[in-house]
Amino acid sequence: MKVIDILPIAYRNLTRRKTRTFLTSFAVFIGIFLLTVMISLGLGVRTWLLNMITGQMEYTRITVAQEGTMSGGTFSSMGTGQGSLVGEEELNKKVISQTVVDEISKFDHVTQVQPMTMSIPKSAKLEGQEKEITNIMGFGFDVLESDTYIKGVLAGSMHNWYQNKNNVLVSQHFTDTYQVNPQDVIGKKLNIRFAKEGSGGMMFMNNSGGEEIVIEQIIVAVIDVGEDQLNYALPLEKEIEVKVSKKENTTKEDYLENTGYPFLYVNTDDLSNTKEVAKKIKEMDFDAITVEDLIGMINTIFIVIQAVLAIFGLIALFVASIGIINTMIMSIYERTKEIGVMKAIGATNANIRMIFITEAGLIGFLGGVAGAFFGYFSAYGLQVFLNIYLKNIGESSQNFFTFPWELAVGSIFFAVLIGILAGLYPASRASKLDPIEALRYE
Amino acid sequence: MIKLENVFKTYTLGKNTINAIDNLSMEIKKGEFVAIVGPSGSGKSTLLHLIGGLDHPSKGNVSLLNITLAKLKDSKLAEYRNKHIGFVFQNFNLQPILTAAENVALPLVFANFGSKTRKQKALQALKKVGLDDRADHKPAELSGGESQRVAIARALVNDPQILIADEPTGNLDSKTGDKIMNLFKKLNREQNITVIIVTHNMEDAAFADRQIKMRDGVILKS
Repeated sequence: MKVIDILPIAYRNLTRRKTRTFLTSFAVFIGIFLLTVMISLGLGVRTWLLNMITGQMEYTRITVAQEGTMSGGTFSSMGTGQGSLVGEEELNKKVISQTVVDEISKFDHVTQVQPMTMSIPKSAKLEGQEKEITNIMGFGFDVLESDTYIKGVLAGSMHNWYQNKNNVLVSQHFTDTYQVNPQDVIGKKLNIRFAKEGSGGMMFMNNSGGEEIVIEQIIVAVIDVGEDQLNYALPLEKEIEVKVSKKENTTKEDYLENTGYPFLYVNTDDLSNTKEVAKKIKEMDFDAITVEDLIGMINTIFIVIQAVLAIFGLIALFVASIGIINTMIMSIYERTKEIGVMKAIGATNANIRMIFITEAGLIGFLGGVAGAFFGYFSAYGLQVFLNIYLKNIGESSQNFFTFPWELAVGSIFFAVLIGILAGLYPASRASKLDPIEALRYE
Repeated sequence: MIKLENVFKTYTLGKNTINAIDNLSMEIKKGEFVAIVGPSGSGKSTLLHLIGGLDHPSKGNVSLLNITLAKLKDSKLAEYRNKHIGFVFQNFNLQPILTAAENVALPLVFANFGSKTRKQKALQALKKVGLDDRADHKPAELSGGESQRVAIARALVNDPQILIADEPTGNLDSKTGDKIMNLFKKLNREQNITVIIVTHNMEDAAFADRQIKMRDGVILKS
């Protein structure tokens, strides 16, 4: 007996009790639906996150930070380089001093070492505007010009911008906040006010008391930084100057040796060498993360998240399989006589088993197809709604939707497998019925 | 052709053992039309099940076409039933979801025939019982007599040498019953099929060449 011969019979047997078949495969449907939506969402968010991160990082780049600051793939405790969030000296960790920078520069395959600082000033004021903006964030970073971090130049020119330390770049977030056209701010003056350390001007606090440092910069370009929070970028030299002048009794040299940079970007000549260089930097007791590491960490996190999400689907499918077992056992009671007849006319035990396993598999298949189908449209619908929401709150739309065909096919196969597994026990029971007893059954 | 030697079939009911078949020996020749008659509980159905390879004797030997049934595994026994025996039941026992032709073709599914051959053979078998015009009807759309003829066609479809019928007219009126018995007679005469029926209807038994009277698991008269 061939499966192809049983399928139409199995299908018609299932249509004998339409409601029961529907309800039984509906449970499978819920399981598969949950499973596919969860996995699709997990995949989609992961892809989105990976794109976002790798999109603004050079593949051959290693991000170096103080040991322990980049654990778990998050930059949460990177600090601001002002020593105000985490007292770096207190941690007694090796600082990324100028000496370190020079040392790494001499490594094989290292093409460029780019220190980077971050700063959170008290406020900034644009020439001709009354409004002072607060809660802003800036970078000291020279090579922005050629970096993938920059999504585009909206106005002005970035050419050699950092060679004049009185220049400043502002991001689209900045012009959005001031509600001005990017073109209109080029050449204008930007006053940035920093609080002097130890004078009550801790970060995130904007009390007007205490000593202040005010710098005046010329806006040379408006840059698109995508999703990043950056508001402005200063030439590295200027940033260091500000940081030095914020502290009492310190020189630039002292600062760079004792406080150092919060992090460095180390560029290598080829992707194949990044691992080796990263290893060497780690041996110097620094954190060194490559894009590969980052992707690996994100993948690990998402495997865990997806596993947790998938467990919900699996629980639903487990319940569904109990439903299938129940339905099949009931079906055997109803069709006991029929089983006897089939045995009398020459069905072997294996044939009977096959018929019931096929029916159970078919229940799984029906639920699986419906689940995958609705799963696809729900994941798609979710994406559409999310983007409508993002648009309403003024954010750009994102693509979270991922539904590879393998997910659809795989989940249907999985549903069939669940059906078959659930059908094993009832089918074996049916096949073992004594034909005479079965024929006598009314 | 069919040979039973000192066959016992014993059932245990609580502390009592009952011999449904009690040291029975008999022979049925090829092409015979035999009616097994007797009151209920006489063991006639059990005898039929033993001949049909649905049941194993507790003791003794059942052989058919020189095959000792006791030696066959379950799967071989199923194959034996499929190839050599055609069963007809009192309640027709057609599958309600299948058409007449599909019901008739069912034994061929288990015999691994392709769908084309199955269709062809099923129509041939339906023709033999005069129902080829009802091939696409479901059992619910057939009368009792028609249903039983479809069941006979199903029994015939694999060209068996032996046709076994358990009270084939039990659910039919006497006129239709006669028609069915005539059909058995015809198949027996024209196709030389060995027909064995169990009945307690003496009119039906009269169609047979030989009557085997049973009581309490033994043959009274043969």
